[in-house]
Amino acid sequence: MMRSVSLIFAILFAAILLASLACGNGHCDPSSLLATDLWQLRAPRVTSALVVGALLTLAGALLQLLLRNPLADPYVLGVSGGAAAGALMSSLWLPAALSIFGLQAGALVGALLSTVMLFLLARRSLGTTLLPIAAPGISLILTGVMISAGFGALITLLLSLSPDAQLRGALFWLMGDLDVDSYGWPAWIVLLLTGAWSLKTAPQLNVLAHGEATAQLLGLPVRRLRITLLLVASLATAAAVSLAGAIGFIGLVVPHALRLVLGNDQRLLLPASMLAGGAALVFADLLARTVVAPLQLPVGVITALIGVPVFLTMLSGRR
Amino acid sequence: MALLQTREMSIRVGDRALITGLNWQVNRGEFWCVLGRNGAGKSMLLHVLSGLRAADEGEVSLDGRMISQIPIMEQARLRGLMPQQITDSFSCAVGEAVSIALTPWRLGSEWDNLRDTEIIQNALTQVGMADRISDDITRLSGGERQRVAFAAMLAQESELMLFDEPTSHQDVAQQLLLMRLIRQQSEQNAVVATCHDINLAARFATHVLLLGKDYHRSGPASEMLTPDSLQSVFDCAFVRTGDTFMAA
Repeated sequence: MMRSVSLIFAILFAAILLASLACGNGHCDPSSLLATDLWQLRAPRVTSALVVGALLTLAGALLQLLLRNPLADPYVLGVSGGAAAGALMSSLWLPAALSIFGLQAGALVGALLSTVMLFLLARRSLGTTLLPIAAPGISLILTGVMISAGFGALITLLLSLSPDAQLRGALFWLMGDLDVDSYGWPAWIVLLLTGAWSLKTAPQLNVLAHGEATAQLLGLPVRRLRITLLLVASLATAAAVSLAGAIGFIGLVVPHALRLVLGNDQRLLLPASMLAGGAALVFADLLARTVVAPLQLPVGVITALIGVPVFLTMLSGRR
Repeated sequence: MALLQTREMSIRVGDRALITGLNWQVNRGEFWCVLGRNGAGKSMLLHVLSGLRAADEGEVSLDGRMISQIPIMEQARLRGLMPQQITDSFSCAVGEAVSIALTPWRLGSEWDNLRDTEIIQNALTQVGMADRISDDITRLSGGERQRVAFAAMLAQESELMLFDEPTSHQDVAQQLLLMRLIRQQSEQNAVVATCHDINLAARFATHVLLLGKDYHRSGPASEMLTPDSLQSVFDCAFVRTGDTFMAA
């Protein structure tokens, strides 16, 4: 069973990648795979989609574990709100020549800032292992929701102060925008680091999934593990958001769907999340570029339009 | 040397003193039942003994060393705790839920280890759940889930086994089965279990710790379990018929 799942998955993955490289501007042309244009125009975009999807899904899977809530997503703790506010501020106040660089740097600073805030405010709850834990991570979630709300207000404020010329670009970015012209190397480095940590720590995470108290009783350094988990997930989210804006639902739906197929063994789930998340976002971006070509949609619209019904179906079918 | 020893240990919740100045020893080969009213601090006592919570005053030592001085992985080899309630957030096979109990000995980095499989199978057989090894834990009944947690305790093979109301969700036959298993474990290890059933305690425990309102008494079960001492703990009269107690 597992072997056929992997095989189907590998074929799907390759097909999506090839289709995504070959299609654009409303038509698909396999011969364009050999054109030099491709490597300047389409490849950076596909590569960025791959890394952003992988990062967001990994972050989602890790946060679902940290909060012991299969319905958590990378944005539940307010990291994306911080990133968006930071990006908007830098695009408003930095000179235009620096705008692309400034947007990403601003997003990164904002994301890291919100993580630090969350960490300081919820420090106590990260270390708690007392039984019984009826609602694990609840204080962490509430802190994150409040930070999100604060940043949400800040974003609205910034948008209403933005000059019209920049408003459209900013809104696109907020919905998630893969119209990038770099391969996103910093994000790849972050994926390499966070992915390696996740694979190495997966056996311990399997124990942590049974609860903080259980993990401590079985000899794991729970506090350190949870803090690292939070930092790794936030770093992955920050890298993704600063490259491509706040793309929703990938980090929520993909790990959740994978759990249904593969089960909860983190040694399998985490690497599968990275691959499936990358493929899912490449596919969503392919749709965003082609369905109303030559117009391009923000990819976040596609992930939300597909993600919401898929998620609601899974939720109502949950036993 | 006693496996577990407390010296002048006190536990408080807020301003309320639950246990004050407990001097107590638990040796290998002993099966202690902790009896007391609701809110007397039975679960809290187990949490302190397991190191999940620090005592407010005094010391707890395991195997001659203060518990706070023992590295956490080594603690996990010395003592295990079966909690009163288990909340499962993710689905997981029964066998995997038991396998995590092997963490203190070897963190599962190998995919399928034959020796582990044998330990898990054996533990589940003892609690009568061997045929459910690949079922999902989130679909078990309360009693079945509790027996899986019990099997995990068996697999952990710790020397000090702490059970928080181990039979609370069990039917009569399963209560007897689990109490027999605990008794059997206590022949080589030391066991401390909280419980509410005085007759089960009288039948299986070797020693009893009574937690009263502002006092505690400990000793061999036969000396502790008398109508008078029970009355002073629970504030109601007891009638003894042979080896059984009935609250009146």
